[in-house]
Amino acid sequence: MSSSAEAVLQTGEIETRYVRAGTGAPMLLLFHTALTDPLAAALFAQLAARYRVVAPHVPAGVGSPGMPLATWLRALVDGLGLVRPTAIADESLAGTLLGFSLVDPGRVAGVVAVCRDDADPATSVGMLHAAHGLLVVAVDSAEQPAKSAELAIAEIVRFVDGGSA
Amino acid sequence: MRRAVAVETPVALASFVGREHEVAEVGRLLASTRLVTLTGAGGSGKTRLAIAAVQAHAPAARSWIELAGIAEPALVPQHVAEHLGLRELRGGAALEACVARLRDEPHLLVLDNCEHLIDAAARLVEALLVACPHLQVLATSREPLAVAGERAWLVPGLSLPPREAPSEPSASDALRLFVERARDVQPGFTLDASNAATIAEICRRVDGLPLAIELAAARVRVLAPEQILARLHDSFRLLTSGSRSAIPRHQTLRATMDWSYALLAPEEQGLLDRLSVFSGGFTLDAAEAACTDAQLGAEGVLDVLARLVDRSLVTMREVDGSARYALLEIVRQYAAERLRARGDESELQRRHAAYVTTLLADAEPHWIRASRPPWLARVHRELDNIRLALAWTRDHAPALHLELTGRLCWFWFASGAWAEAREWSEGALALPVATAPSRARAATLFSAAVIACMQADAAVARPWLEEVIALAGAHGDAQLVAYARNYLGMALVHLQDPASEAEIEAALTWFRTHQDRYGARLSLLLLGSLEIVRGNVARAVSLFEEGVAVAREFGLPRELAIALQMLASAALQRDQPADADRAAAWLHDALVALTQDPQYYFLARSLDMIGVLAARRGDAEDAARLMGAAETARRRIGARVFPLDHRIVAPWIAQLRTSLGDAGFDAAFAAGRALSPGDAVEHALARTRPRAAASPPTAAPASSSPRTRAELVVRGLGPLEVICGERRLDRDAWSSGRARELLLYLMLAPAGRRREDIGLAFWPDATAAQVKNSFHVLLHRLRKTLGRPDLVIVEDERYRINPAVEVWFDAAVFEREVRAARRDAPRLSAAIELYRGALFDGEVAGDWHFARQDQLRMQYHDALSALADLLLETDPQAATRTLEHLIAEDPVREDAHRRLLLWYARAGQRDRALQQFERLAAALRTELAAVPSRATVELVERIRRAETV
Repeated sequence: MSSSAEAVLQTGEIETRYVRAGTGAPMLLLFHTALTDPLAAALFAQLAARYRVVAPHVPAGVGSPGMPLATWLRALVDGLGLVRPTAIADESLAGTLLGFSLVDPGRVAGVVAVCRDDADPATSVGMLHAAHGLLVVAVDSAEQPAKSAELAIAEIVRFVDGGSA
Repeated sequence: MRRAVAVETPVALASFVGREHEVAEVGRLLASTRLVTLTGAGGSGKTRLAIAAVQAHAPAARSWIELAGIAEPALVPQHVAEHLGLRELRGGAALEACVARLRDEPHLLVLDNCEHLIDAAARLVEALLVACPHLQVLATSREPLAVAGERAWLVPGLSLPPREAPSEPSASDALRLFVERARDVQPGFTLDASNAATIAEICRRVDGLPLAIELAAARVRVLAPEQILARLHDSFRLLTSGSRSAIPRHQTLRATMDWSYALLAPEEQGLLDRLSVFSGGFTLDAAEAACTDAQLGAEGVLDVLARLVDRSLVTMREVDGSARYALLEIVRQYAAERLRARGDESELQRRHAAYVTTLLADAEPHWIRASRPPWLARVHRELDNIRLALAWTRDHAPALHLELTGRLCWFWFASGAWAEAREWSEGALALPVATAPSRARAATLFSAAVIACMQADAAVARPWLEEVIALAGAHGDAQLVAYARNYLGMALVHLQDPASEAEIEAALTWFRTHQDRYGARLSLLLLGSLEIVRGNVARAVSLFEEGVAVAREFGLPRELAIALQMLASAALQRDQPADADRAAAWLHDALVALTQDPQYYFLARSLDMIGVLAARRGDAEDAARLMGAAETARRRIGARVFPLDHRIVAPWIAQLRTSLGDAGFDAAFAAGRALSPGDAVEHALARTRPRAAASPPTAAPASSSPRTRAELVVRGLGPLEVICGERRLDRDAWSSGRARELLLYLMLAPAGRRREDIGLAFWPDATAAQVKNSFHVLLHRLRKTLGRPDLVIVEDERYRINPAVEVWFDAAVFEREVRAARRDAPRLSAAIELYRGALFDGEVAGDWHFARQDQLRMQYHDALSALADLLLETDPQAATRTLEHLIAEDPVREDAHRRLLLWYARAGQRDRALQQFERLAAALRTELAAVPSRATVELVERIRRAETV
């Protein structure tokens, strides 16, 4: 699927807008505003050249006590038919994703957590931890944001390429 | 056009349980969205929910298209087009044809099982939704299509039982499904306080997944619910390492399938794995041919297969009265993995290809005979398997591939899959194996050339056909030479080469000599067309008339319609009023024939010709309307006007434009284009007079001695004797006594029996699902033993002995003759001779036969009695012998005793008469604890007193 037209998935009462593009191993981009966030958009475009990338827009209300993020995420993965995707989550969703991957280790092939902190501008990206199946990258959004994002993306692409090789 | 575009929603293989809320939700989505996709893991019930939703909410115009059997993404548009009845495609115009078909009317297209072709399906759906404003699509897929405007809906698990009241089935769809499926395998199964909590836990453990629940419930006959739960728990612990709770739904199903598979006997596991080699389902014959191994011979396949159906791992449905089996896609993929792990995949694919080759070889003689329609349907059902075999042989067995493409020629031709035919046959010819001057090369070249001719690609076809003639001649295949010369003649007609006539004449000579009506009909029509081109209309009419006569003898409606159209088109080229009347009648008959075998190309042709008739009558507006309707029919398949027809129609269009004016013509033409095919046919039929003196072919007179001509002879009065064709089927020939019993049961019911009736007679305690399975096993065995699949057919849901087959059944003849011969002693005597003993004497048969046995015995006794009456006047000795025989058959038959003793008395044999009375009294006393009637006693008293009686 080369197009990335917006579609809707309904899981129970929740409607999730998402875009999907590319073919290959599945990648799930978890950003609160995946359809508009510049980093998410850039990642989406790069990864879609080699992977099937799905980027949902987290619906309003998800994350509230009545609709925990993990419940939404589980239904989302089922409803989109994603089999062991590599999931890349923005920092606000990374905790949920990590929890999800610990509870359901068979559901994700790899986890990337993007941390937007004030890392050393000289490196811009601080790889806090890289182990099998898990990458945490920090992105400095205050200083040289474009440069920082570029390096973060490169790191993420290297990671997922290695993971899917 | 009653059959052209209807693609029926499949009947659910088992009853649909619950899901009222979900069905309503899908209905709500369909009411507001043009593209709805039901997503979820395999086994979550997407397809069954779609069936239920479509039946509850969809408009009448809908098509159901199963994609599981398609492996090639590029074939998706063509596959959809085929299922929409658009088979006469040219030049890969499948998408355009689908658009033309779906553009103008509201229609719901259901695409089932899209996941493996998700991108191709998405592209097709996107294009169709853009081009067809009234179209809606409902798809089922593990992954959404992800196109603009799509509403994907995750099919939830079945509602689970509440922990506080698990024994109330109505509270939970999951529980209801478990109980219903359990009853399918164990009719007495009940949900009660002792098992409800365990079953509820099973349902919860499998997350409400319908297929997982079915697999678990199918085991209640051999495992108690506690055992099922314990073993499921073991399977799931392997997945979770015993550490946590939730597991993904697809893994839940996987674990349940592992569990279910582990419970299978080794031969069941092996067969299930091997059955995964089929695509789009399979028949018993196919399984027996391709799926045996050292442990399981062909004769054992049926029993093991029936057990797999019982275990919900194989599904069965009825198609034209026969069982067709399939593995749910998720089960097929699972079994295919196991087959690969065994290292048997390649061998099975080889055997699968060999089976397909054999099927096509069996079908081949029928393509050019009147027996074509059932074979066309049968082979069409195997299209997924055929494509699978083509793809595998292309890569692994090129010689077999070449053979297959040669054998598929007439199927492709008749089914209209012309673009695909060119692709496969030209691909095969490019293989190194095809360079040898073999018979197989000739056949495949012929395949490619025939389709090229139909696509007006004459310059390409010509050298191919010339090579076919040389090759087939070298291999001594005179029939292929004749057909190749015929088509070479067609190509040369298109190329305006005068050599065409000699080729067609040569072919016609061969066809006539060998009474090949299909070929002769085509030759005559080609020669007629040639005469039209030459301007010799009278000679053309004569040839077309002969073509019509031969087509009538050939016996199929499409061929007759084409010949009638050619005849009518020739008549329309003459300016005689009588010709117009005759042409109208011929076109009417052609349309009627086409309604039995619809094809848009020829329908359009009829509409055009009837439009010309209207123009000749001066009804310009109607003429333009009919021609507009013809244009719509052609556009549906991307076809163009045949050149010879164009010569007839084009001048009239110019004239109509003059008489109506451009605006008037365009308005009427547009009104015609808006007509549906069905409405256009109705309109055209109303505009053509019915022929007054059409003479249907006369049926052959019934034989006066049916036994000598019958294809099936059954003698059931006395020791059973069955002769089918030339074969006498003694007991050793029957693999099952129950199959023999089924034959007898059907013989006694000429109008047929519903499967439910048969179930009551044969398996009175079985569930509907068990009856369905057992019945088809039995039916298969019966057909196999008879060696004639067509002897038992299904009509209006009733199974019956095929009325088109000449059958001689002694019981039926006996009853008929006894009724007819009441006053005719010789005829009655002959009828009585048919009764050699009780019905099905010595056979093991169910209670169902006793009533008929008694009835026939009574008729026999009555016939003996009637014969004795007739003989008393002419041959008293014979009459007494008959009465003695009757009494030997029925010792308490008092009227026979009385007549006998009366006759003895009148003959002066008083002692013998009294002895006869003693025999009667003894028999009544012994058998019935009764005494002779007052009339008999009084008669005997008179005899004792030596009075005249």
